[in-house]
Amino acid sequence: MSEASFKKALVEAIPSLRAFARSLSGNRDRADDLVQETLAKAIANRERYTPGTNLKAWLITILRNQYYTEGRKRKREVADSDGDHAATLTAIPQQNGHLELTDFLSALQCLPEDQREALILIGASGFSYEEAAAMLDTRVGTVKSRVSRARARLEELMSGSPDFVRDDAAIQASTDMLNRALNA
Amino acid sequence: MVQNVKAGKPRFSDGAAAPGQVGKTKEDWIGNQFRRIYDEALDDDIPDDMMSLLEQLDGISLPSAESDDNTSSTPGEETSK
Repeated sequence: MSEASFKKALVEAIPSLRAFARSLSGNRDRADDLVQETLAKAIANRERYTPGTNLKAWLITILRNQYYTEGRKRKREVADSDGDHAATLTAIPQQNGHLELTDFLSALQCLPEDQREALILIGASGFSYEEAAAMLDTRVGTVKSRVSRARARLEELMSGSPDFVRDDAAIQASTDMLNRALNA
Repeated sequence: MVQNVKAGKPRFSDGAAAPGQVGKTKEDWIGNQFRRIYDEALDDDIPDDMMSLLEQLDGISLPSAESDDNTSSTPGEETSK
Protein backbone atom coordinates (compact mmCIF):
# COMPACT_ATOMS: atom_id res chain seq x y z
CA MET A 1 0.00 0.00 0.00
CA SER A 2 1.51 3.33 -1.01
CA GLU A 3 1.86 6.13 1.51
CA ALA A 4 -0.59 8.22 -0.48
CA SER A 5 -3.33 5.62 -0.50
CA PHE A 6 -2.68 4.83 3.16
CA LYS A 7 -3.13 8.51 3.95
CA LYS A 8 -6.32 8.65 1.89
CA ALA A 9 -7.72 5.64 3.73
CA LEU A 10 -6.85 7.19 7.09
CA VAL A 11 -8.58 10.46 6.17
CA GLU A 12 -11.66 8.52 5.12
CA ALA A 13 -11.69 6.64 8.42
CA ILE A 14 -11.50 9.78 10.57
CA PRO A 15 -15.28 10.42 10.88
CA SER A 16 -15.84 6.80 11.95
CA LEU A 17 -12.99 7.00 14.43
CA ARG A 18 -14.27 10.26 15.90
CA ALA A 19 -17.81 8.90 16.16
CA PHE A 20 -16.53 5.71 17.81
CA ALA A 21 -14.33 7.65 20.23
CA ARG A 22 -17.12 10.07 21.14
CA SER A 23 -19.49 7.22 21.91
CA LEU A 24 -16.86 5.34 23.85
CA SER A 25 -15.53 8.24 25.93
CA GLY A 26 -18.59 10.50 26.01
CA ASN A 27 -16.33 13.49 25.60
CA ARG A 28 -15.47 15.27 22.36
CA ASP A 29 -12.10 16.61 23.38
CA ARG A 30 -10.96 13.34 24.80
CA ALA A 31 -12.31 11.63 21.69
CA ASP A 32 -10.23 13.81 19.40
CA ASP A 33 -7.16 13.21 21.54
CA LEU A 34 -7.78 9.49 21.17
CA VAL A 35 -8.13 9.79 17.40
CA GLN A 36 -4.97 11.87 17.22
CA GLU A 37 -3.05 9.21 19.18
CA THR A 38 -4.55 6.48 17.04
CA LEU A 39 -3.46 8.16 13.81
CA ALA A 40 0.05 8.69 15.19
CA LYS A 41 0.29 5.01 16.11
CA ALA A 42 -1.17 3.89 12.81
CA ILE A 43 1.40 5.93 10.92
CA ALA A 44 4.27 4.71 13.09
CA ASN A 45 3.15 1.08 12.77
CA ARG A 46 1.86 1.13 9.22
CA GLU A 47 4.12 -1.79 8.28
CA ARG A 48 1.99 -3.96 10.57
CA TYR A 49 -1.18 -3.26 8.66
CA THR A 50 -1.94 -5.96 6.10
CA PRO A 51 -3.32 -4.38 2.92
CA GLY A 52 -6.67 -5.84 1.98
CA THR A 53 -7.74 -6.39 5.58
CA ASN A 54 -10.24 -4.15 7.32
CA LEU A 55 -8.39 -0.91 8.03
CA LYS A 56 -11.20 0.51 10.15
CA ALA A 57 -11.12 -2.57 12.40
CA TRP A 58 -7.35 -2.21 12.73
CA LEU A 59 -7.63 1.47 13.64
CA ILE A 60 -10.44 0.92 16.12
CA THR A 61 -8.43 -1.81 17.80
CA ILE A 62 -5.58 0.70 18.23
CA LEU A 63 -8.02 3.30 19.52
CA ARG A 64 -9.58 1.12 22.17
CA ASN A 65 -6.18 -0.09 23.37
CA GLN A 66 -5.23 3.55 23.75
CA TYR A 67 -8.50 4.27 25.56
CA TYR A 68 -8.07 1.49 28.07
CA THR A 69 -4.39 2.23 28.64
CA GLU A 70 -5.28 5.85 29.38
CA GLY A 71 -8.34 4.81 31.33
CA ARG A 72 -6.33 2.78 33.77
CA LYS A 73 -4.07 5.77 34.35
CA ARG A 74 -7.02 8.10 34.72
CA LYS A 75 -8.77 5.88 37.21
CA ARG A 76 -5.80 6.19 39.51
CA GLU A 77 -5.73 9.95 39.06
CA VAL A 78 -9.42 10.78 39.39
CA ALA A 79 -10.89 8.03 41.47
CA ASP A 80 -14.53 9.01 41.66
CA SER A 81 -15.17 11.01 38.52
CA ASP A 82 -17.36 8.23 37.15
CA GLY A 83 -19.42 8.13 40.29
CA ASP A 84 -19.95 11.88 40.24
CA HIS A 85 -20.85 11.76 36.61
CA ALA A 86 -23.40 9.01 37.10
CA ALA A 87 -24.95 10.96 39.96
CA THR A 88 -25.82 13.79 37.61
CA LEU A 89 -27.70 11.40 35.38
CA THR A 90 -30.48 10.38 37.73
CA ALA A 91 -32.95 12.58 35.88
CA ILE A 92 -32.46 12.61 32.16
CA PRO A 93 -34.49 15.44 30.64
CA GLN A 94 -36.93 14.52 27.93
CA GLN A 95 -38.62 17.69 26.88
CA ASN A 96 -41.35 17.33 24.30
CA GLY A 97 -40.62 13.67 23.97
CA HIS A 98 -37.34 14.38 22.21
CA LEU A 99 -33.97 13.12 23.11
CA GLU A 100 -30.85 15.20 23.32
CA LEU A 101 -27.75 13.65 21.81
CA THR A 102 -25.71 14.62 24.85
CA ASP A 103 -28.17 12.71 27.02
CA PHE A 104 -27.67 9.65 24.89
CA LEU A 105 -23.89 9.98 25.18
CA SER A 106 -24.26 10.36 28.94
CA ALA A 107 -26.48 7.31 29.15
CA LEU A 108 -23.89 5.32 27.19
CA GLN A 109 -21.35 6.22 29.85
CA CYS A 110 -23.54 4.54 32.45
CA LEU A 111 -23.10 1.19 30.73
CA PRO A 112 -20.32 -1.16 31.79
CA GLU A 113 -17.41 -0.70 29.41
CA ASP A 114 -17.59 -4.15 27.87
CA GLN A 115 -21.28 -3.68 27.05
CA ARG A 116 -20.78 -0.16 25.75
CA GLU A 117 -18.02 -1.06 23.33
CA ALA A 118 -19.89 -4.12 22.07
CA LEU A 119 -22.97 -2.01 21.42
CA ILE A 120 -20.96 0.66 19.60
CA LEU A 121 -19.15 -1.85 17.41
CA ILE A 122 -22.39 -3.55 16.39
CA GLY A 123 -24.92 -0.73 16.57
CA ALA A 124 -22.80 2.16 15.36
CA SER A 125 -19.66 1.05 13.57
CA GLY A 126 -21.43 -1.59 11.53
CA PHE A 127 -19.22 -4.54 12.33
CA SER A 128 -20.59 -8.05 12.24
CA TYR A 129 -20.77 -10.08 15.43
CA GLU A 130 -17.89 -12.17 14.12
CA GLU A 131 -15.73 -9.10 13.43
CA ALA A 132 -16.56 -7.62 16.82
CA ALA A 133 -15.77 -10.90 18.55
CA ALA A 134 -12.35 -10.96 16.86
CA MET A 135 -11.65 -7.34 17.81
CA LEU A 136 -12.71 -7.87 21.41
CA ASP A 137 -10.95 -11.21 21.57
CA THR A 138 -14.06 -12.99 22.78
CA ARG A 139 -16.79 -15.29 21.50
CA VAL A 140 -19.69 -14.33 19.23
CA GLY A 141 -22.17 -15.39 21.90
CA THR A 142 -20.50 -13.11 24.43
CA VAL A 143 -20.73 -10.15 22.06
CA LYS A 144 -24.41 -10.87 21.43
CA SER A 145 -25.22 -11.04 25.09
CA ARG A 146 -23.28 -7.84 25.86
CA VAL A 147 -25.13 -6.01 23.09
CA SER A 148 -28.50 -7.18 24.26
CA ARG A 149 -27.78 -6.29 27.88
CA ALA A 150 -26.53 -2.88 26.74
CA ARG A 151 -29.74 -2.27 24.78
CA ALA A 152 -31.91 -3.32 27.67
CA ARG A 153 -30.03 -1.09 30.10
CA LEU A 154 -30.18 1.91 27.73
CA GLU A 155 -33.86 1.33 27.25
CA GLU A 156 -34.29 1.34 30.99
CA LEU A 157 -32.17 4.47 31.46
CA MET A 158 -33.72 6.52 28.72
CA SER A 159 -37.27 5.46 28.32
CA GLY A 160 -38.97 5.47 31.66
CA SER A 161 -42.63 5.18 30.87
CA PRO A 162 -43.73 6.12 27.37
CA ASP A 163 -46.97 7.42 28.83
CA PHE A 164 -45.18 9.70 31.26
CA VAL A 165 -47.02 12.99 31.57
CA ARG A 166 -45.17 16.09 32.72
CA ASP A 167 -47.83 18.52 33.84
CA ASP A 168 -48.70 20.11 37.17
CA ALA A 169 -51.37 17.59 38.04
CA ALA A 170 -49.09 14.68 37.28
CA ILE A 171 -46.24 16.19 39.28
CA GLN A 172 -48.59 16.82 42.20
CA ALA A 173 -49.84 13.23 42.02
CA SER A 174 -46.26 11.92 42.08
CA THR A 175 -45.40 14.19 44.99
CA ASP A 176 -48.42 12.99 46.93
CA MET A 177 -47.53 9.41 46.21
CA LEU A 178 -43.95 9.96 47.37
CA ASN A 179 -45.08 11.70 50.53
CA ARG A 180 -47.48 8.91 51.34
CA ALA A 181 -44.74 6.38 50.78
CA LEU A 182 -42.29 8.31 52.94
CA ASN A 183 -44.76 8.81 55.78
CA ALA A 184 -46.06 5.30 55.77
CA MET B 1 -34.83 3.56 7.20
CA VAL B 2 -33.94 6.89 8.75
CA GLN B 3 -35.96 9.80 7.50
CA ASN B 4 -34.31 13.16 7.89
CA VAL B 5 -30.86 12.45 9.14
CA LYS B 6 -29.03 13.34 5.94
CA ALA B 7 -31.11 16.38 5.13
CA GLY B 8 -28.91 19.15 6.44
CA LYS B 9 -27.20 19.85 9.73
CA PRO B 10 -28.24 17.73 12.66
CA ARG B 11 -30.52 19.59 14.99
CA PHE B 12 -30.36 18.03 18.38
CA SER B 13 -33.74 19.07 19.64
CA ASP B 14 -35.68 17.44 16.88
CA GLY B 15 -35.53 14.55 14.49
CA ALA B 16 -34.99 11.69 16.87
CA ALA B 17 -37.94 10.31 18.67
CA ALA B 18 -37.57 9.44 22.29
CA PRO B 19 -37.74 5.82 23.33
CA GLY B 20 -41.26 4.58 23.50
CA GLN B 21 -42.29 6.79 20.60
CA VAL B 22 -40.62 4.70 17.96
CA GLY B 23 -43.12 2.06 17.25
CA LYS B 24 -41.39 -0.53 15.11
CA THR B 25 -38.53 -1.91 17.11
CA LYS B 26 -36.79 -1.04 20.32
CA GLU B 27 -33.45 -0.79 18.56
CA ASP B 28 -34.55 1.97 16.20
CA TRP B 29 -33.98 4.88 18.50
CA ILE B 30 -30.57 3.60 19.56
CA GLY B 31 -29.53 3.19 15.93
CA ASN B 32 -30.84 6.67 15.17
CA GLN B 33 -28.79 8.20 17.95
CA PHE B 34 -25.63 6.49 16.73
CA ARG B 35 -26.32 7.64 13.21
CA ARG B 36 -26.62 11.21 14.41
CA ILE B 37 -23.30 10.91 16.22
CA TYR B 38 -21.71 9.64 13.01
CA ASP B 39 -23.35 12.30 10.82
CA GLU B 40 -22.16 14.96 13.20
CA ALA B 41 -18.61 13.63 13.06
CA LEU B 42 -18.86 13.54 9.27
CA ASP B 43 -19.92 17.20 9.20
CA ASP B 44 -17.14 18.32 11.51
CA ASP B 45 -13.98 19.63 9.92
CA ILE B 46 -10.95 17.50 10.55
CA PRO B 47 -8.79 19.30 13.14
CA ASP B 48 -5.54 20.81 11.90
CA ASP B 49 -3.38 18.72 14.19
CA MET B 50 -4.82 15.53 12.68
CA MET B 51 -4.14 16.77 9.17
CA SER B 52 -0.60 17.85 9.96
CA LEU B 53 0.03 14.44 11.48
CA LEU B 54 -1.13 12.84 8.24
CA GLU B 55 1.15 15.10 6.25
CA GLN B 56 4.05 13.07 7.65
CA LEU B 57 3.00 10.51 5.09
CA ASP B 58 3.49 13.03 2.28
CA GLY B 59 7.06 13.50 3.50
CA ILE B 60 7.68 9.78 3.22
CA SER B 61 6.25 9.36 -0.25
CA LEU B 62 7.97 12.43 -1.70
CA PRO B 63 11.58 11.17 -1.85
CA SER B 64 10.57 7.92 -3.58
CA ALA B 65 8.63 9.87 -6.20
CA GLU B 66 11.66 12.07 -6.76
CA SER B 67 14.03 9.17 -7.13
CA ASP B 68 11.70 7.65 -9.71
CA ASP B 69 11.97 10.82 -11.73
CA ASN B 70 15.71 10.96 -11.34
CA THR B 71 16.36 7.42 -12.49
CA SER B 72 14.18 7.87 -15.55
CA SER B 73 15.93 11.06 -16.61
CA THR B 74 19.50 11.61 -15.52
CA PRO B 75 20.92 8.97 -13.19
CA GLY B 76 24.05 11.00 -12.50
CA GLU B 77 22.05 13.80 -10.90
CA GLU B 78 21.43 11.76 -7.78
CA THR B 79 25.06 11.85 -6.70
CA SER B 80 25.41 15.54 -7.41
CA LYS B 81 22.57 16.35 -4.95
